[in-house]
Amino acid sequence: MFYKIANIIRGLAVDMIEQAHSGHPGLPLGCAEIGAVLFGETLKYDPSTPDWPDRDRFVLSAGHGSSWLYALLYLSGYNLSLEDLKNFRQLHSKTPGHPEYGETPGIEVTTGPLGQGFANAVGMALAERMLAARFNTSDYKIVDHYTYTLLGDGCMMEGITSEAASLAGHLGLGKLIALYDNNSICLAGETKTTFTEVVADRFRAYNWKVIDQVNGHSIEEIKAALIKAKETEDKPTLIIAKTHIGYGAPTKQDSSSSHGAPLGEEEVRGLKKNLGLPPEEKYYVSAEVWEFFKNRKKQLIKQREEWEDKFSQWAQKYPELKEEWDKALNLTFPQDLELESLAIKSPIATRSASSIVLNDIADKFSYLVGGSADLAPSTKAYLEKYKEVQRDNFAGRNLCFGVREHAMGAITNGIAAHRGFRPFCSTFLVFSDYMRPAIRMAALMKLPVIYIFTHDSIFVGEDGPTHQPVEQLESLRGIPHLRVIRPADEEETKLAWEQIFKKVEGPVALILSRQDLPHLEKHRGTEEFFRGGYIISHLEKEAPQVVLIASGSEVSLASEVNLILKVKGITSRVVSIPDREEFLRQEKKYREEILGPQNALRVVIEASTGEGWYRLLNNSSSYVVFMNSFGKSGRAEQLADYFGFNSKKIARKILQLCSGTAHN
Amino acid sequence: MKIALTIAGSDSGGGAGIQADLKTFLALGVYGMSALTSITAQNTLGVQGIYDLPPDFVGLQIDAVMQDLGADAVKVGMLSNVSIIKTVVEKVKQYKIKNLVVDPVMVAKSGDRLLKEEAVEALKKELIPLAKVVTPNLREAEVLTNLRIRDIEDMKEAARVIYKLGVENVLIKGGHLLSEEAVDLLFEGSHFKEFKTKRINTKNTHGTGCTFSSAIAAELAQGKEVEEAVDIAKQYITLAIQNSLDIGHGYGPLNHRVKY
Repeated sequence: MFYKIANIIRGLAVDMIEQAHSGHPGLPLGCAEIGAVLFGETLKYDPSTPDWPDRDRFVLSAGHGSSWLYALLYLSGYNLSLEDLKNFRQLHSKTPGHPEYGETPGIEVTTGPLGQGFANAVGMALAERMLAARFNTSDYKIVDHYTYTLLGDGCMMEGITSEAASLAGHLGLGKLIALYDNNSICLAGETKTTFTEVVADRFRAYNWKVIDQVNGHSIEEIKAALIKAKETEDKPTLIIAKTHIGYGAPTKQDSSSSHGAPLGEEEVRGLKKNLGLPPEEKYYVSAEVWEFFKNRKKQLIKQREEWEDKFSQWAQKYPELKEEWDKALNLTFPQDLELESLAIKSPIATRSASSIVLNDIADKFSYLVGGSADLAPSTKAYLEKYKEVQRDNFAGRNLCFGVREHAMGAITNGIAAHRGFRPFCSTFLVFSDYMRPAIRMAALMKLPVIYIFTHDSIFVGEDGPTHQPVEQLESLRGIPHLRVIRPADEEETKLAWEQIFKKVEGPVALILSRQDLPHLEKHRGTEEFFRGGYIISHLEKEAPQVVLIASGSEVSLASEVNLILKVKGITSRVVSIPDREEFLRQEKKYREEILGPQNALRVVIEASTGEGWYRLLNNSSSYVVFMNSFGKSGRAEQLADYFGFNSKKIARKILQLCSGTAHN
Repeated sequence: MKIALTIAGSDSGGGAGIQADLKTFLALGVYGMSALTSITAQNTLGVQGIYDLPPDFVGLQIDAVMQDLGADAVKVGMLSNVSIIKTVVEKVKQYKIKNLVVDPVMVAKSGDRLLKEEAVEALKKELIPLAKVVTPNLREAEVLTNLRIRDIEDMKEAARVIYKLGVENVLIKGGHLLSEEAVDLLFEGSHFKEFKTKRINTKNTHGTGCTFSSAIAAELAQGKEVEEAVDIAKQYITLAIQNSLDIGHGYGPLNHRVKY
């Protein structure tokens, strides 16, 4: 039966790809048996309840094999129709080119950029262990599921896979099972030209159990390997399955030509003939395969219902745990959260203020977990009262990612996608580059991940340009759906955290200073902080001649400039813009009210490359103080002076620009 | 152009008194006028002599400028005896002066009391209740309250006591407290607001008190609210101290023509 299922998968996948005139037939043909065993026997899921919390997670890390996954979801009885398969890769379809989170039932994460999915799976397996440690009791195992991922040669070559595998091995994530589709062919040709290491040895060195030399086209061998994988509880397992790319294609099997382009009509007909499928029929599913999955679905539903019963008993017996469970799964915002009364002495670095807030709210949000890439003492993203997650303590709340930023980002995505936690991760802003692909994926999936990026400008000082972010802030703002908040002082840091918890919409990057910043008086209140930008200076009696716009540490600089201008008789205002993209989303009336009259001189001050600020400037007169080069090694005060972030210099320039209006 | 008047003593050294006030008015963009109360013979080293003008003549000066030019704000500095205080009180009432800043000068830099007990009483009971802002330094706040001020909490207590005299805003200048930051405290009856600035290490601070209160008056004359006026005055005084002049043999004067 499983061989029959495998061939049905092959037929469906190539028909989808032919109809779309694009797609990747190589993996669906090569991994059909693996798919048949996983969905036909191994995986625990319920197609009628795709969000069942205790389902096994399956991540297709080699996301280009999407037609394989859609075919399996279709056969398994998810809410995916034949029509959906026919619309493969079409605009607004439920079957996009690569699997997309939120678009298709049964898709656990968006995959495609190689290696991301593998690291997501590590995050999911970690989340499972952490939830189990919190909610399982001696008499009830509420959380007890596996995480499976299928990865190809491409995934295996990516650096992120090494980082994530290393951490998974260190943590001994025994319920993580990775299947490696080892066909020795990648997009451009054979892997022997680039990739000749012994993967099995590598993974053994990472503390993985490795089941090598599995014939990926033998149902029996695959089943046996999966059973053997589950026998080891203290190590993740890698199953290395030898497969033939494009299996069954008359001329294109074992060739890179089957990787990423349709086979063509002739080849498809030959393939179907080889596999014993009706050559002229499209989207053929035999009655017995339908029958098989119908029965399986019934069993799966029963399995889920049994879990529900167990869950209700558990909930009744442990109401406090149930309450925590509900909060964690829904990321419920506690009504009594109030940070205003939390006293933070200033001047203080916003990274330190953030740490005070984080530790304060940690007690109220038990679902808040996270960590940093070996920088906890510097980024201060650490929950002081709680333990670290290690192989012998998954009840901890501090994650130690080691110096593995890229994996940190993707593992955090996996934790968020798994659900049950609100994860944060942290490093220096300059190293956000090391994890940018994962940030992009979080944004694409709108996962509620929190990034704490500290040491946010040239004012890092002596470490020099390698450690001084210049273009990172602006480039993060360019990622759609990613909120970027750069608070100006300890009060804005509190408000930012409040926003983060009140608005669970997608990822947020909190950009924090290394250096101390003074408390800023918000002369018109902070009610409009959430709009991304608001006026902090005194109410003017006359229309302002100069509007000073800044974010983060430069807001206090702008306030100094403001007072110098006032001494010189210029009417000016200070606008703090902690979240520029949010500000730009506000209605025009509000934006204009904040930015002042068109004829006012708009001055933007930000220790970053300033490209994106042009949208806030008016045509007639503007002046931008920003970084147009890398920083330098030196004391922060020297750098401020050298790069022009000096209130007197800025004021002098503004006075020159305003001359004629200035009385002096 | 807005107009401000200073009622204060003359400093022959040019660093404090009406000389400092008029320079401040000019720098902050208001037209400045003066009514002298005393003439001092002084330099950067100290005061060599004081000659008080007859109270009637103080009144006459005020009449002269008020009846012709009028004033958008008035700053009152050194009033060295009860009669002069009473004259000024009478004139403030007569011309219904709203934006009145009282700098209760009564202690010299050396620590010597400049005012007799009865003059202090007149200041407290009659002049301060008419003011929008009163700007004592720590020693002056101690004299006004009979309290000992050692820290910010003491400052707050003193501000409450002075507020009860009937003044709208109390600004206690904490410059003499030994802390890293110079903290000034503003109290308007319900909230305390602290104005902090980094201490500037210089001995050239002659005339800071006068300059500060006249800067507040200049900003009030231009329609600023008290809090913002104090903000701007703080910034002005900081710039003036940063550019202070190392002239004379004692405490050098500020540079009222602030440069960048």
